[in-house]
Amino acid sequence: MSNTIQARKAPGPSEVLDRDNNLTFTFNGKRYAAFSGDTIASALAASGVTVFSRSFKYHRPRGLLCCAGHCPNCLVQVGDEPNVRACQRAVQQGMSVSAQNAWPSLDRDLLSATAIADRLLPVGFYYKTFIRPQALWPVYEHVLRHIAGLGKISSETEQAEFDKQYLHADIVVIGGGPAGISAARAASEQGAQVLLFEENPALGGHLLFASPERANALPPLLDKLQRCENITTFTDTTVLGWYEEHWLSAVRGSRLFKIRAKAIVVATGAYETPLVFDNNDLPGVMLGSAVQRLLNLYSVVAGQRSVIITTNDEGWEVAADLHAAGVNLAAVVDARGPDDCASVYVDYIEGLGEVPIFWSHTIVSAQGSKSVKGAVIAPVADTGSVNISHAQTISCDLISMSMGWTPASGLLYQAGGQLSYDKEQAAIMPVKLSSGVYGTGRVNGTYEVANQISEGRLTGLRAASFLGLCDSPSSDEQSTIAACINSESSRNSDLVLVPGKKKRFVCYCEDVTDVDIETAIAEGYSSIELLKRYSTISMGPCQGKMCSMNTIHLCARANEATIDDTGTTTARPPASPVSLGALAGQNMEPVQVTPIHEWHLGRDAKMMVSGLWLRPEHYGDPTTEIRAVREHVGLIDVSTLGKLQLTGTGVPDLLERLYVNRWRKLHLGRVRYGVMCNDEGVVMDDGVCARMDTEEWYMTTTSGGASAVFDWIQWWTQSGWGDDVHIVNRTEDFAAFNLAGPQSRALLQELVNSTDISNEAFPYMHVRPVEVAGASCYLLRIGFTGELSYEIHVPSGYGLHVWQALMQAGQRFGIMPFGMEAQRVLRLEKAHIIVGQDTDALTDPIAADMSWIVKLDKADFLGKRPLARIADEGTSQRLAGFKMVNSNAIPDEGTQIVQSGDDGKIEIIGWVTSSRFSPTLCEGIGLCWLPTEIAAQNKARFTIRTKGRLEEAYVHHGAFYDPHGERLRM
Amino acid sequence: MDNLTKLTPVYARVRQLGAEFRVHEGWNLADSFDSPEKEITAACQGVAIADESARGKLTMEGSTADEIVQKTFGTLTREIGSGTLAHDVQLYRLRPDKYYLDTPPGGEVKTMQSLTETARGGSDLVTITDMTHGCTALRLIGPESVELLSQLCGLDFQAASFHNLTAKQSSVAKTTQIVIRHDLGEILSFSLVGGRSLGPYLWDIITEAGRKSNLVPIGQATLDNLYSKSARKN
Repeated sequence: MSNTIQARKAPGPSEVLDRDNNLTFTFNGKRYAAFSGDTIASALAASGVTVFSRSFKYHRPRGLLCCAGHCPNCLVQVGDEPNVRACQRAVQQGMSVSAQNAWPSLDRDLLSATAIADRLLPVGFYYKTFIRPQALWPVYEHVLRHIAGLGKISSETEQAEFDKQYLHADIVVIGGGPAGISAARAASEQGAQVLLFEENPALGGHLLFASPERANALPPLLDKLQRCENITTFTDTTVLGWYEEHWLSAVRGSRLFKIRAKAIVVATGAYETPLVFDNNDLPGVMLGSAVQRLLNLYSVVAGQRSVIITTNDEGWEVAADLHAAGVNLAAVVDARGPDDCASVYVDYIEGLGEVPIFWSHTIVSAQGSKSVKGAVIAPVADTGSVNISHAQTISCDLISMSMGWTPASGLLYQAGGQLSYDKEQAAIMPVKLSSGVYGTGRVNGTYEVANQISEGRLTGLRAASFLGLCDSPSSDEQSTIAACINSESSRNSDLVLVPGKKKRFVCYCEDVTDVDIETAIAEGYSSIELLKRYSTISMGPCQGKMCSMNTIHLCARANEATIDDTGTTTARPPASPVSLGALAGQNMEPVQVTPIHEWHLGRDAKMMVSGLWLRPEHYGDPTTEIRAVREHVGLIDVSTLGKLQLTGTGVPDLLERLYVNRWRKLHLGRVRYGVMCNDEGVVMDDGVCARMDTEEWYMTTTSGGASAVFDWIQWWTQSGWGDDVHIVNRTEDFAAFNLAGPQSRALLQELVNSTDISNEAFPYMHVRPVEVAGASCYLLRIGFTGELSYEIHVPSGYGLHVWQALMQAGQRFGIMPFGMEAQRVLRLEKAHIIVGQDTDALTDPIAADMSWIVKLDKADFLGKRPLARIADEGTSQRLAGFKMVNSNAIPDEGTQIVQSGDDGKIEIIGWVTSSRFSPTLCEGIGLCWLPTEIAAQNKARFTIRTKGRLEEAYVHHGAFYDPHGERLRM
Repeated sequence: MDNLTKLTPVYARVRQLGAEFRVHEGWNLADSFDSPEKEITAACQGVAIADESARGKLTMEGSTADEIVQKTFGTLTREIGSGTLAHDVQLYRLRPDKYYLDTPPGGEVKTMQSLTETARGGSDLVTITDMTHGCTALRLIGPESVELLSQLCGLDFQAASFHNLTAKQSSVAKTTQIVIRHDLGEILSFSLVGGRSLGPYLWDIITEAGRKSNLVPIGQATLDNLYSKSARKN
C-alpha cells in the first residue's frame, strides 16, 4: 500500500478532513491511504500521484487542473461507474478506482501513439478520414468504437434508484458563496421563502479554500444565515437549467429537483481560465484556485517547487499560501507591471527576499514528459507580444496559473439574459437580465469579498422588492456599492495565448489546440457556433467551462473581429453533466387493472397490455376457451370498456349528432349499437348506448377509446351542443363481464333469483337493472361473440364477488374464463370489426362495409357531408371477409394482398387486418381491405403474400358463423 | 359463494402486507397492520399510508350546485378548490358548477339522498354521481407526507399555498388525482383520489418512493382513532 502521504501538510483552519478516520482504497489496483473527507483526487495527490487520466484523442497524460469538478482531467472509473470526477467524489473505504481511456495501463498507454500520427487526425478528422475505401468502413468502425468513449459500463450493474422532487419558493438563490448567502439572507429577512442551492458540500464558495485572511469572512456569514428560518439550503446540489416561468432543474446525487421560483438570484461565481501555451496540459500545470483548494481544504501541496504564473492579484495570494505551506517558490511571473498590481501579498513575497519575481513576463512552455520539470518564461511587451528570444527556464514541479475568470453565466443566458463583452473587465458580463432574474458576485464581475457581501444583500432586496415584499433599495445605496465594485482591479486580461512550437490545448476535453481552431476557421467554419460543432470544442465533459472564453478570443483574433461580434455559443441545459438515471427519475409507468386482476393472475392468465390496461390474453388454451363459449358458456372481463353516463333532456339530440345512426326513438330499456365518426367521416369508435331512464343514457365505448370519446363529447357539449346534457365518465365505477354461450341464461338465472330473464321477458338488445349474486347490476343483453350473451355491469367494489359467483355457479355448466385472444376469434367468426385494428385513421363506415348504419337522411351529424360524398362517389377500397383456400394457411395480420400487373410485376392491392384459424369452422378466416370491385364479388379469388409464399383466398360476404344471428336471439 | 362484501382497489396489496381485516359498511377493510401504538407513532412522527377507498365519494354538477349545497348542509364554499366540513361530510368546490363530497364509509347513500331530495323540483339540471366504487382514495398522514408527495406531484404543498381543507386536481405519478389536504387534528394529511384501476399502481409508486421516509401502512382502526381525536379537537 502506498501510505507515504508525502504531500500532506499540518492541518489548516479550512481543512475538511477527519484525520482520526483512516480509509484505504485502490487506484489501478494499488492501495492508497486517505482520511475521511478526502476526495479521490486529494488522497491520490497526497500520495504523490500526478497522472490521473489520459486525454481523449492523443492519450496524453493528464493531472489535476481545476479541482472544482469542471475540467475532464480527473475523470476516473469508480467500480462500475464511469466518468466520476475524482476531485468531487469522496473516498469511501474499500473503493476501487481505475483510470479511463488508457491501454494497457495509465502509465504506459500505447494509444498515445496517436500523437505521433496526429497528421491523420486533424480537426474534424471524422469528416475527412476513415471514409475511403468504403469497404473498409466496418473495420474502421470496429476499431474506432473500441477506442472512442470514456469509461466502461456494465450490463450487469444493478439498476440504481433515482427519484425526483418538486420544490417551490419565492426566491431561489443559486450559489452559496458570500454573494449568494447575503442575497438569501436579505430576501428572507423581508419574508421571502428562499431556497439556496450550492453545488459543493458546504456553503462558502471561494471563501472555503481562500487564504485565511479572506476565509475569515465566512463564519459570520454562516452564523447569520443559520438564524434565518425561511431559508432551506441544499448543498451538493447543482442547478442544471432554467426553463420558462422560472422553472429550474437541479440534481443532488440520485435525486432530480424540479423547482418553481418566483424570482431567481444567480450567484454562480466564475470558472478560473487556463492560459494556452506549449504543453499547457502537462500534469503539474494547475489553476491557482486548484492549488489553493488542495492546500487549504485537504492540506495537500501539489508540488515542492512552484512557479506562479499570473495576470491578477490572486496569483500572489496563491504564492503566499504555498510559501506558508513550505513550498519552495521558484518564481512569481506576472504579466503586468508592478504598478498594475495591488495585491497585499506583493510586499510579503518581496520581503522574503528569496523569491524571484518577474514583472511583465509570462510562461512560454511547460517542460517535462509526464510531469512538470520546468517552466520557460519570457518577457511580455506592452503590445502583448511575447519575446521568446529572451526566454529562460526555471526548474519546478508545479506551475500555478492565475490568468482570470470566466463568469459562470450559463443560467443567465438560459434565462434570456443579454450579455456583452466588457473590455475593462476583459469578460463577458450581464447587460440586461430577464424579469425576476438577478446576478450577483463573481458572475456579475464582483470579486472583492466585502463587495460581494454588499452586492449580494442588495440583490436579495431587489428580488424581494420584485415580489412586493419590500421597497427597492435606495438609489444612494445602489450607487455607493456600484462605486465600490467599479473601483476593483480587473481579474482578467487579454492574454490567452502564448505562441510556441508544441501542442497548446484550448479544449482539454476534446484535445483541441489553438492550431485546430485556426485550421477550422481557415476551412470556413468561422462562426463560433460552426466552429464549436466542427471542432467539438466545448462539447465535452466540461461543457465549455475551461475553454469557451479562450475559444472566443482566438476565434475573434482569427476573424479579426471583436469579441461582441464573435458572440458566444448557446448555453443550454444541462449546465453540468447529469446522469440519464437522474433525469429519468423513479420509474413511473401507470398501469390500469380491473377489479378482477388478481383473480386472473391467480389462474395463470397470460396478461397483455392494451392501452394502459393489463388484460388476460388467455388462460392457457384459447381454442378450448372458444369451444367453451360456442358449446357451453364462457366469461370474459370487459371492465376496460369505456362507460359514460349522459343525463338530460338533450341527450337524444346530442347522440343524433355524435353517431352516424339514429337514437331519438330508442325506447326505454333498449340498447342500440352505434358508430361514431369525426367530422371528416372517419370512424372514431363504436359501442352501444342504453336508455336507462327517460333522461338517463348509458354509453359504452371501446376500451382504448374511453378517454378520447369522453373528451370528444365534452368538447362538443362545451361548443354549443351541450344544452341540458351532463356527461360523467363512469368507466371505473363499474366492473363489466360478458357471459357468453348457449348455457349463459341458465347459469345467470341461478344468480338473479326470481327475475325473469327469458328471451320473451328480456330479449336481445335490451337492458335492465337486476341483482346478480346480491349485487345491483345493469344487465345488457348484447354480445360480441355471436352467442346468447349478457353483459353484466356491476359496481367495481362488488366486481370480484360477482365474478366469483358466476364462475362458481357456472361449474356445472362447463364455464371457462376466456381472454382477448378467444374473443378476437369469436368476433372474427361473426365478422365484427375492431376499431383501430380493422380500421385506421382514414377509414369511413361505408368503406368498412357498414353503410347500413349510416343514416344520411337524418339531420346533421358529425361526418355527414363527407359520408354523403363517399356514398355518392363510392370507395376504391372496401373491408371484406375472406377465407383461405388452404385452410391451414393463416396469413399474418398486416400482410399484403397482391396481384400481377400488366407488366408482370407484383403490385400490392390490399392488406389483411384480422386473420385467425377458426376452430369452430376449421378453416382460416379474416378481414381485409380489397379493391371494391373484388370485395363486392362473393367468392372472388385473390392472393395474399405471407411468410414468403403466395396463398389463395376468396371473398366471403356476411358473418362466417351463424350469419342470420339466430344464436344471439335465442 | 362468498358473503357479499365490497373490496377496495388495493385489497390485494394490503392483504400481501399482512393486514387484519374487518367488514365495515359492507367493505372488507384493512383494520390494522401492526400495533396501534406503532401505527399512531408513524402517523404522528413520520409518514403513514392508509387505504380510504371505502369512504363515500360523490360529485355534484350543475349550475345550481351552490344552492343545493347551501340548502342541504347550511354551509357553502365559494373559492375554487376550497373545502368545508359539514358534520362528517367534507365538501370541496372543484369548479363553479361542480362539488366533490367525501363521506365516511356508507355515508354516501344518506348524503346522496339528501342532495337528491333538495335538488328535486329544481328547474336546472343537476347530476349527482356516486363515485365510491370507481375511485381509489389513499391517505398520507404525518409530518413527512409533504416530502413524500413532493416526489410524485408538482403542486406546492407549503402551508401558505395549500391550506387545510383544500382540494386541487393534479397529476400524481403521471395519473390524474384530486389531492385533498384534510389534516387530522394537528397532523398533516393529504388524500389522493383517482381512478380505481390505477390504485394498485399508485400504491406501489407511493410505497416505493416512501421507502426512504420509512412509510408505514396503517389500518382502519388507527384511522378511526385519528378521526375521532381530530373530531374532538374540532
